[in-house]
Amino acid sequence: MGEQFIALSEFALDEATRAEWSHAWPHRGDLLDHLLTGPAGTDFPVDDWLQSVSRVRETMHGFERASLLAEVLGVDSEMGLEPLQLPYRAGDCWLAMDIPELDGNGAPLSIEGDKLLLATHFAGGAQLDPTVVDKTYCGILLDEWTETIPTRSETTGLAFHYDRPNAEPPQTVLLVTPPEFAGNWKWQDLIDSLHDTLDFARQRAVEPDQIDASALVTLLPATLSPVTLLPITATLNFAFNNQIYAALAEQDDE
Amino acid sequence: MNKYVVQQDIHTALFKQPRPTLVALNRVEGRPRKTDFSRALKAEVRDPLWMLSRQWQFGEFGGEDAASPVTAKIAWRTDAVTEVTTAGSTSGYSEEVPLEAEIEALPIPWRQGDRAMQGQLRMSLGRRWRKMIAAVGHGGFAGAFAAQYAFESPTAGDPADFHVTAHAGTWQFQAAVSGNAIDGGALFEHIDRGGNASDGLGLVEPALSEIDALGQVFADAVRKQFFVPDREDPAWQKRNLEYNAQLSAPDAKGGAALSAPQYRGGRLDWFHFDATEAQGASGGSALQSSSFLPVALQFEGMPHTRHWAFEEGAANFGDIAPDTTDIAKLLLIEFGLVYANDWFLLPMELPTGSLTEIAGLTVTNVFGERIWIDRAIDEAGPANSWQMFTLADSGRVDKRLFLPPTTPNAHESRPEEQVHLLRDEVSNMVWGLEKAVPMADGVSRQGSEVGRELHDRFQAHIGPVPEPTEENEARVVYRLMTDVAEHWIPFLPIRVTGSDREVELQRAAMPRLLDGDASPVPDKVRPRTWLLREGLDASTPEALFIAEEEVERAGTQVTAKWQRCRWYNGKVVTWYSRERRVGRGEGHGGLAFDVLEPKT
Repeated sequence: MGEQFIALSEFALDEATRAEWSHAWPHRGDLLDHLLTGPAGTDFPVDDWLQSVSRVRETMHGFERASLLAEVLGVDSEMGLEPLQLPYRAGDCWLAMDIPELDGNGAPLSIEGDKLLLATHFAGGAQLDPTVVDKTYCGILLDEWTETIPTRSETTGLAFHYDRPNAEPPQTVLLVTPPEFAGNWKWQDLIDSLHDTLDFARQRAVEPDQIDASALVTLLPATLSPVTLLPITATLNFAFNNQIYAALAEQDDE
Repeated sequence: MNKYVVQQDIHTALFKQPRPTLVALNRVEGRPRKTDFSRALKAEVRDPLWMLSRQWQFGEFGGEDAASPVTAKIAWRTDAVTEVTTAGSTSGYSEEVPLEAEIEALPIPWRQGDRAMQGQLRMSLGRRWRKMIAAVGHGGFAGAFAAQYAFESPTAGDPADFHVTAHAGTWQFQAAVSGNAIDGGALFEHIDRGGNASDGLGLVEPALSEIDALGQVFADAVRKQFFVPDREDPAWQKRNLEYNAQLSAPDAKGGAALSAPQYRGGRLDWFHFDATEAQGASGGSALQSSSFLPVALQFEGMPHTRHWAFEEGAANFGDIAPDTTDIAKLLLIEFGLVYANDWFLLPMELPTGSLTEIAGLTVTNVFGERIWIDRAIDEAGPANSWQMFTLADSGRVDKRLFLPPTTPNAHESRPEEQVHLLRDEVSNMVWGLEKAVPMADGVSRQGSEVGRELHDRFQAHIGPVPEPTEENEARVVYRLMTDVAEHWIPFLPIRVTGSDREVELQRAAMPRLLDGDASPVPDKVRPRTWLLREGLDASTPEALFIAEEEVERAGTQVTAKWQRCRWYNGKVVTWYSRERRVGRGEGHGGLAFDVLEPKT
């Protein structure tokens, strides 16, 4: 089934759509008020819209052709289009052409969110009746497209280079208590605390290689444990682990 | 295999010491380094001192002779584009339409010679006119207008009408509408030439003046509907198959100019423009200034300056694997990873259709020092400065930002006309292959079909050709010249006037060779697209020359189409434009002379 095959299914409207339609449909004429009377006005807005859209959209070109020929050949007086704009808002303006400063209520026109603009042709005087719940309808979707309206200004960016210091605040909260309770702080105590903390931070990163040459190397790190040949005292032979690892390595080799 | 002696009596063992022994000490030494860095790079969280220790190791506590910026002040000047110049004629520009339309738009091609084209658009305008006169109570004149501005009714056997009657669909349309509908295009052309809507209808007052006034409203509506710039010369260069336009934006130093010398249609953007020498009167706007707080610039994949901070993982500079020769990639990585944190950003809201120049920028730091920020591009010129994204053409420095007033998205029609210009190395010439051809009823069709239909119609007009009665035993057929399909329009290389070496391409025509044609000189096959008819429909037909270098080896494809977009305040802009692209290679039109073929 290619493009030539068009399946038309019947559908019923749900409650929300019927409610929307019952508001939007009777007021559809109001949408065009600003175009008919405004400064950028035109006496036949929907005709003008179809004319310009037909130049670029192939299916709309086909619709325009069909409607023109239907008229000439006496099939239909005019295949008119009914413009609608959803979601419905009282005093709204049709956004398909020039947009006014003020909406139908005299308030500044604000376009909130995306709008669905619908141009429908009802064949043979058919109507949508939102009061009948289960009524089914059938139609052909000829074309759909998206339009965006540009603004008069654009946000650009100016980037500049400035060598700022690379120091960062410490990742730690330091709680300092005064070394002696003299009633108030001594500035030097505070400074010393900070220096001490930084010293501790440096010491935190000390590695065995760095104390290899110092006098304390026999004692540090103080992870010492006694080993005796005979188990006559409490002993802990760390070297035993070395043997286990050696045995495991041997196993792996095999 | 327990080699230890189990002490049964610990008291004896400890106090009598029957087996004196030495106590040795052994110890565990931690090795914080590994050949595998994966764990170290995980930045695992430990005690507070560890957090500080890592920060210290990463140099985050190092002091520098620098200060943080606190405020900045900027001064700039924005000049609007005020004029568009094409091929010597200038018109004012005030952003009524997007710049694409201002440059690209061509007059609506209503006719080919004396043949009316755009049938559907003519009819649609006719309907609008009928509704307009009906709305003011003059609907009764519709019949008179339909007679005055009628669609041509083609005559079946007339070769002059074969461009319609050879094509069933076009003929049906013309036959259906002629006499029944108003040709709104003809009415518009009449009013546009200075005529009145009522001319030739014999109306009397007050209908006469009412209809005439309405005619002006109608013509204005058509002009508003289909934009055509108010300039004598179109920006399209028929010799070079591209647009050429200059913009003028006067600033304090003079009429700053931008030039788009080789715009090929399609999407117009700032990079189509080059800054050229300032000409004309100066003007321009006053300096604007504002203060702002410098905000650190951030971009996707930018490393965070702090060690203990989570980073966005969407873009990972570390995963880029550059080759040793990818200098640009290496530069990008180095910039992104090393120098990212010294950049600041100021968002600026600027009007479109303007040239903006930053006059000055100062930054005040926490010590109250004010620092002048210079432009990255050196005034001394390109000899010692590196630049990207600037308007300068070679050898100049341009410091301005151009925001072209162009549309973000326009809808384009299918090609109304399409021509492939291709080199034919076999016949040593260039062909203009008409791929899409506009028909009189306003649709476009495939050039090959249209050409064949027209040829067949001319052939059928001659009638059946009797088979040669004389039997012969020849086994081969000699042809003086082979047939070429009618949509292949030849271009011949000729010498450019005043030059010994340069060659340009001139439009030529193939003869329409028909079997049994009695006329001594065959008709010429004429192109059916406006792209190739250029000059043919003038009162004195002019030759069409195309620069030889514009027909690339891969061929050149030129299309004409409608474009439609929305503009400021929702205005709809529709225009007819051309676009050039690279073609699809060489082709062979099948033209050959002195051919000997086996007889079939």
